Amino acid sequence: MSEYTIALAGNPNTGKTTIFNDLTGSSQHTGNWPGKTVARKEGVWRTDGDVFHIVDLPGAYSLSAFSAEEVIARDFIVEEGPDAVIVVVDATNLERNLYLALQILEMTPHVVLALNMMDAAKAQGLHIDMAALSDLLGVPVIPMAARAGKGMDALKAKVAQIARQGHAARAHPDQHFHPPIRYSEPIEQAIARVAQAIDACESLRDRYPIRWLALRLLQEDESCIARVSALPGTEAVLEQAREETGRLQKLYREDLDTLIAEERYTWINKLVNRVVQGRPQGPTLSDRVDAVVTHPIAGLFIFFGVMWVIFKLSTDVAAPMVNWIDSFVNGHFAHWITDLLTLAHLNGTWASSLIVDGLLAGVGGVLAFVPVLMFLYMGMAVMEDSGYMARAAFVMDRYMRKLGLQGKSFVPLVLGFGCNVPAIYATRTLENRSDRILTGLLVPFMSCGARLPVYVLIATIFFPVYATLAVLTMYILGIIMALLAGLLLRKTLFRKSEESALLIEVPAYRMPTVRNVWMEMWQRTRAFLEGAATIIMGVSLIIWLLMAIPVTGDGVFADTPVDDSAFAHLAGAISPLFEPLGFGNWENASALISGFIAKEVVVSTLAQVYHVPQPTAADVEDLGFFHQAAEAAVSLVQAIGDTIKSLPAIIGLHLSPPAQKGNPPALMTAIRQGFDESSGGHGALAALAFMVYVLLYSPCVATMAAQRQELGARWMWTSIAIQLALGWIAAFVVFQGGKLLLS
Amino acid sequence: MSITSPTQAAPDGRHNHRIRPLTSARRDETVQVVRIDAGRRLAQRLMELGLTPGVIVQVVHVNGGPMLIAVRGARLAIGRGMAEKIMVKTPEVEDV
Repeated sequence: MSEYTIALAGNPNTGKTTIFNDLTGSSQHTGNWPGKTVARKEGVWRTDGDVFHIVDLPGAYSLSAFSAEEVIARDFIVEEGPDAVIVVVDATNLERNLYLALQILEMTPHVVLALNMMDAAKAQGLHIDMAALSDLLGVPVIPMAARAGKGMDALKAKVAQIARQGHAARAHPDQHFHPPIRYSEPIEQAIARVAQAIDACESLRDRYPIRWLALRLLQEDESCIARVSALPGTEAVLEQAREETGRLQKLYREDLDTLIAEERYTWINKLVNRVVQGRPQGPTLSDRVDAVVTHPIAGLFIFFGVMWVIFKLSTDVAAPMVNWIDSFVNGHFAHWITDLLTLAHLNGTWASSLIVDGLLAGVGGVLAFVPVLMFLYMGMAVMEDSGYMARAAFVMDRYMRKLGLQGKSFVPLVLGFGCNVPAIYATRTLENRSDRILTGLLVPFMSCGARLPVYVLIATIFFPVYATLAVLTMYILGIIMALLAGLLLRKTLFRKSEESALLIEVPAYRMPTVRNVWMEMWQRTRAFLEGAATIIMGVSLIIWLLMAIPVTGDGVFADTPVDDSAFAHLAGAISPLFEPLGFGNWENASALISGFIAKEVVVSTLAQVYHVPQPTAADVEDLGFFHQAAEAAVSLVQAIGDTIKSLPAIIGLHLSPPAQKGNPPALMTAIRQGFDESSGGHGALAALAFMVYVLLYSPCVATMAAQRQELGARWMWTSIAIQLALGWIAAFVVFQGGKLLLS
Repeated sequence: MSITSPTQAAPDGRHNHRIRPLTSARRDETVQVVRIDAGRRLAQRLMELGLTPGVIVQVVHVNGGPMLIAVRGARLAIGRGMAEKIMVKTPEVEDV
């Protein structure tokens, strides 16, 4: 048994993902490239007792190392030296796609060209001479229609063969190989002289493909120069390269970057003219559809329609499944665990409280996001796979540009109104890192579904007549604050980062495949479970611990009233911070602390600390295990049924009446009193400030976990700081400003 | 291939060969890239996407916002700010 490493490269939208899914199936694993926030997808394919590790390189249009993705792809090929590289190219767009292929051919000779979308090329009347193409490029070419599963076997066979050859050549790598392209004579001569210097250099000779390195040095590639100068005895090489670059610059009126890009395209253009017969004439079907879809007005309506569907999928349609998971984990499952603990004579001890109230609550908190994320990822995957995402970015670009963001950023921001967590993950579709960060910092301003019950409760107590208006104001305030924060961040932290600009390929429309959508959905949901679960669980456990420790009174560990717990004392300690905002008592502070974990629990914490009996959600009758398992199964079936029934709700049809959940009047009275007391008689103002604070301060631990995963720990802390500061300032302005106006 | 020097106005009086930004092009208009007035990074990115000097570009959609263009068989969406940096001219008949 031998092991081989295969790199999979290609432009975005070439069907690279389809081929990757087909090669690796369920063996895929998604992680991050070391030290980068770029996703690294890997999988395994086995044949004839051999193991082929497939590494999916980030999709890129070139390998000039100007973006993190390009650096990763380039470094993997030249530094790690895979046994073979599969370059996926779109047969309907050979000219542009061959640019990347040519760059890769300058790095390694062990290449297989997967000529994908042959079916579409044929439909357009294109005829491609495979033999000539393979001959001119000097590598095997496999015609494919990956979506229809055509050509996979031929590709596998050829890749296995090339990888074995590549592997055998590893012991004595030939760094002198010649790519198919020859540049104009002065450039070739310069390359030859620098290559000669490299060949004479002990530390460089066997390290990099010589011709490739020579050209990179001539083009003054900073990362290459830095790496070369770090090696011993390379001064002569660098000196030679500088001299040659100077000579070429004098000779040509253009800079070398332009010259090389032009010569590559000229070479490719000639090749395409020789191997491709027939050219698509006139506007394509995609163009005709785009006349409507990218129209400034019609396109806007279509975009909002699509976003509405995805929004509904991840809220209303996912809701029955979320409820089922919640009641299963906290009901039946909690009950079984309690039974097991009783068997082990642990029931009623702190250990059982830790497991049931700490661990299980955390597990429930994590799992409840799964249906939401799966529906969201499904929607996003369909948008990406069909080619619609590029159109959405096009339509929204003119509006987002005012915020210093590009069109695609709008998608995560809209999703934020449903739930901030998937919205943060949706920033992954943005190519530019500073766009991802800025968008990820603005998402928490979008008022998510979990904040709504808090507004509704507080608004019904204090502004019964204007409740709807008060709630709507919160949503609008969130958008205004996002606009201000966006402009402010652009002027401060992001002053130096590259102005975001739209530059994307708009692919032809394609029917999304079930397999691609499913894989994407599953991969990303799994990444969430692996990445965010720890932080959410950790924080749940800390809160449990704080609630379990008695500080006053005669309670014992894990059996103490909330008022006497460390949690209440912590809340009491920080409550002075909220005094200038009008809601500085320990009850409100503890609701805000638990709201820091998740906004879903603000209302229930208020009920708990204001001592209002709550109907318990997890009243499970004492039935046998099998009976309960059957019951859980039945309720799962019901939940699935409810999910399906809620699909028409996307277009506004309600098949099942919405459940009405009122709040007990006792709670409302207690809260009113609490706010009146803490604000010195300005209860309504304090309540408004409280709503503003709930809108603006950090949304939940899960969002933070997502931010840490996608943007890195530094930006997570930045976001927390921004939200806490802005929330406090805005609530202060509302309360103190309101007092001034009223007096 | 080298940069074509700016030529004088066409005999019919229209400033046909005037070098102008891509944003001046109308829908369905065919233009030829002359040069890219941007920093090295951006210029390189645009050129690697096929926008090298001399290439023929067709404007597919434009509505005041970003532009959708066809170049080397691909459709590209380009933000307005970026399109302003791409200098084009009306191509000579034999180049098309």
